Amino acid sequence: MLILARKQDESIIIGDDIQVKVIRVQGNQVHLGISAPRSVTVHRQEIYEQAKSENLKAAHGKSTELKDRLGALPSLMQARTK
Amino acid sequence: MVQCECECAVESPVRASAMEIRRDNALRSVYPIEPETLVEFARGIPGFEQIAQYRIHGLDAVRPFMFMEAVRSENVSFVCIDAFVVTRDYSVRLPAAVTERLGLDSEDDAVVLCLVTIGDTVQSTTANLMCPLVINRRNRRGEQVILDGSDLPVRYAIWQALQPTVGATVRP
Repeated sequence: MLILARKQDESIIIGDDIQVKVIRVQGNQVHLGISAPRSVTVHRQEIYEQAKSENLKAAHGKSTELKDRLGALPSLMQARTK
Repeated sequence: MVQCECECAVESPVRASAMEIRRDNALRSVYPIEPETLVEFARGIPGFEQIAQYRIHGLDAVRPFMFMEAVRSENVSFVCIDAFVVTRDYSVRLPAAVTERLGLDSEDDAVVLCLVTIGDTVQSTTANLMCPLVINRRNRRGEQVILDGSDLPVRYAIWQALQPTVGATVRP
């Protein structure tokens, strides 16, 4: 891993068009400003990992098994939305 | 907080704008998209980055749930549901970057679905409100949007949400 030391208001550039700037350092928290093209998504890693792990839990094999797995929930939902 | 909206290094010719999708301006029906629809997730979804094409289809018996099945790989499928059926006061703020990637010009074209994690019991089945699938019904482009910074739950118990309104639907 490349390690760089930066002060407040200093930044690094990743590739040609992604800039990460140190906005503020407060105690043990660092505020970063990220400028990137819109094709690039930026997330806090733990949030991204949470999304990923929930997707893995939500995934099933063949969709033919899904109907049985839902059990009574569809009919309960139908009663509500009537 | 993540700041990704500020002064993008690359300016696009048409600047898309951020969008808030709520129950009253989203496209909704029993099947928010036609029962059999191919959707293209250009970058896949987290954990399934290699799968871009899904088929979304419904079955009357499982309404309002729908199935989302990978087109090319036989063994990946999900259960999903219109987010606004799960919770009425849901809203999704889409950053301009997302509306641009989806080519989304109007709230009316947005379909918002949640992936469902089926538990061992009805009570433990949850919907992922933090990471909705947003689909532009005009071009069938979709993206799983991670609402970083929102307090929306990844595991929202559908059954619990159902409780207060089940009685309310019975009118004299």
